[in-house]
Amino acid sequence: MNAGAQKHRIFHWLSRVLATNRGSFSRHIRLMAGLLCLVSLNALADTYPATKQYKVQVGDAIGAYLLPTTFTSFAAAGQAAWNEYQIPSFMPYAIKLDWFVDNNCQSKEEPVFSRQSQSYYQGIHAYLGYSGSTVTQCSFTFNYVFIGWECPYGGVYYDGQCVNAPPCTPPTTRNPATGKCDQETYTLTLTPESATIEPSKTYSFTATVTKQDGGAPSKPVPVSVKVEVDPTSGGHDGTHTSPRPKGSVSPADGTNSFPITFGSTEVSGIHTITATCDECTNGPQTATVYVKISGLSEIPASPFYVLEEADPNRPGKTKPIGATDNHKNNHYATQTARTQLFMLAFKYYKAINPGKRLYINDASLTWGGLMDDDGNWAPPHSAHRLGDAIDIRADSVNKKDGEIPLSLFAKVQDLKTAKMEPEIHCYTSTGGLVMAKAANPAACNGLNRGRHFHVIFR
Amino acid sequence: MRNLIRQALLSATWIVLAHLGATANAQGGVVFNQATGSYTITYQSDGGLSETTYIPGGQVAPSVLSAFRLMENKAVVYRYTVANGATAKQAIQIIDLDGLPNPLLGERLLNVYSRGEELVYPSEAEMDEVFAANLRAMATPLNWDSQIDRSGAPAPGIRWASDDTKGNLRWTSDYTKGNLGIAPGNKAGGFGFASMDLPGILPMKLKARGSGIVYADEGPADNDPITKQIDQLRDNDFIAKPVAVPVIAVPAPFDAAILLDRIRTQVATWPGKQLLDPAFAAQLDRSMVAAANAFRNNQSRAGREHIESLRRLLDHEHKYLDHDDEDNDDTPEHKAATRLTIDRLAARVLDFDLRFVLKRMEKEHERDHDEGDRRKER
Repeated sequence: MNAGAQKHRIFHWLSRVLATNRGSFSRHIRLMAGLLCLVSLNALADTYPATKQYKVQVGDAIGAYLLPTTFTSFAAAGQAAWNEYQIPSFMPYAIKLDWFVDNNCQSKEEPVFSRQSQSYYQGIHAYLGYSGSTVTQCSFTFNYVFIGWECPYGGVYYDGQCVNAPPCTPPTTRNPATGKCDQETYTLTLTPESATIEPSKTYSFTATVTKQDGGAPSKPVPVSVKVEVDPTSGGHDGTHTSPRPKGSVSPADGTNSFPITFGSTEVSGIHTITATCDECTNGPQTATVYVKISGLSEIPASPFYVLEEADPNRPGKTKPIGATDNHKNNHYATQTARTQLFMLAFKYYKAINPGKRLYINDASLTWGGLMDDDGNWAPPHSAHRLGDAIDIRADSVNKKDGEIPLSLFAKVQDLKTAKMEPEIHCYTSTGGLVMAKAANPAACNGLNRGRHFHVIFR
Repeated sequence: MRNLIRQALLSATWIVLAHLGATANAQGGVVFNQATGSYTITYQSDGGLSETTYIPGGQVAPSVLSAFRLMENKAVVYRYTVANGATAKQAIQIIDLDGLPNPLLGERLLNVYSRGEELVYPSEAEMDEVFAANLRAMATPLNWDSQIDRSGAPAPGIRWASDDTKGNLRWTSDYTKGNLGIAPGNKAGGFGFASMDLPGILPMKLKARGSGIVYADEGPADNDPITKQIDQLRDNDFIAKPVAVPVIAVPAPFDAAILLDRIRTQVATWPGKQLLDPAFAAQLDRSMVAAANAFRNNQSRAGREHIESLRRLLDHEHKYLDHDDEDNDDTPEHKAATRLTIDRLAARVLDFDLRFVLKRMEKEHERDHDEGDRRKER
């Protein structure tokens, strides 16, 4: 509702109330109504629950001789000078009157007022305790009369609320329960707590500072953001060059609530984003980013292909073919790739080169992403990121066990299906331009980094 | 009509290739060399700009003759004879037939499935059986290889490794045994298989081996637009010829109306393949609808009459359609009497399917008759 409409509604309500209850309302109501007219509603600020005002009366008591029949005698109790007692509006209260009397129900001392539930006390007799061993029942009735609403912290009454209260002065904030301006306290959150994204992709997080009522701070509260990466996560081990590249966060600082864009590198791994707010009551907040290709699993053993070879650094032990100290697990692939590799190897073993098994070199790392062959966080081997490409040993300059003979290259390529396509790759030593003439499959001979089948699975 | 179809298919292939050939730029590209008939592929690699050459395999001039015959066991035997025109620049070495919806007669499916993360592979013995069965399921000329690429049908509780349930057949010349394919001016027969499905028409894709791409590095990255272009280039590197293939499943229990509906669905694809004139297609369709409705209403005689009238329509266009082992070409005598509203292969296929319906209805009728006699004897 806009301010104009609210203003109109309040005046309408007031005029209706005053017309129908003119005789029964106290002068306080009329006073407040008058005040309302003076207040500009165009500058609505804080709102909080209004406070009810009640007047306590005692009368028509049994044994009324004990008490003055006039209410004003209660003024002696030290309460409001005109016998009012303020009762918070969230629960209609009555006043319990504790008045110590003597055996004759005569007053011994001044009465004590306390708040009690209206539902319990209203309309029933109150029992007055006796200070001595004998209790004398001195009954009387009391009731309360609603006399109006109060906005003790400013503003004007409207529909159970105090509206248009002057804004709390920063850095204080309105207490929604009491209406009082309390000192602001801040809490920092970082959402979501975690996310999984593919390499080279971005993801948006949000840092949010809130004050105790859940609202935005009344002043800019600075927040700083940084990101760290687990150096051995994502399947990268050993002695990579340092430092490991990490994802980026942008912006690196801000105030109150702002989005943070995390940008991952080509390298899979675990990143931790940390947001820090010195003025907040809670500590730094973190979010974890799992940069990975989901759905990769290790290529299972098969009688039709070979996954392991002797480890030259550990006599008597084996290691995955193509694995290095930097990448100890290089045989992860998609489900389609694993299945199609199984089929390809079977056909090779049974029909193309009977009794011979394929030797499986690099597939992808545990979480995919960049497979930096040289441990320097950079290509080559850029095609082994998604788990959908597997290298297979083939005839090359540096002879190794299990190579597919050159004479069978075309037969292996004939096995192409809709989901599997064998290509032939080889490396240059310099990464420079090399013409690989298809008509001359020996074009890769002489290159020192080996020719191999690079099989793509779709 | 056939020449038109051939030209259309050739044009479609070369339009794709020519389009790809026009996209070279500083970041890489695919350029067609008219003089050599090959493509130069330039792409960004880890070490800078790299280049490789792709020699397409589609420089063949094939023609394919389809023969199909109904056997006693209700299976249909399909046979193909492939010829390579004298003008071809390459031998035909790879023959693909993709998209067969149902297994061939004798074909076995492999039970590869996943249990959570774990893939469960068949045993070697089962693999041997399946592959041996699938080799037997395809008729393959001497010194040719064959394979069926089909991932299997979904089954309850089993998630197959692939949802591709269509079968892709391939014959490849076995160069290790001296077979360099069907040279220009030559032909080879004996390609085929049997199926319980009735014939429809799909393209057979024929090509030479071409180059098979060789990269002197890791090749272009997966997300490089060049990769997509190269994939398209290779995917479209063939010459397509329409052939009769088993694509119409016979309902079990037999239901002539349902079968006719399926035949209609297949025939409806022919105008788009330029095998059937749309106006004639509408005329055929009306008769097929009438026949199906008649069978649906247990008016078998009326249904048969509609089918016979359909066959007469076809006979008016092409003679001797019931000579199932004949080739696709009309004789000069036939051609003189042909109005070219339907390709001869399409007419032969449709006539075959309609005759199948008639034969089955005859047998159904005889069976009903026999059962009636037996009841009388009892």
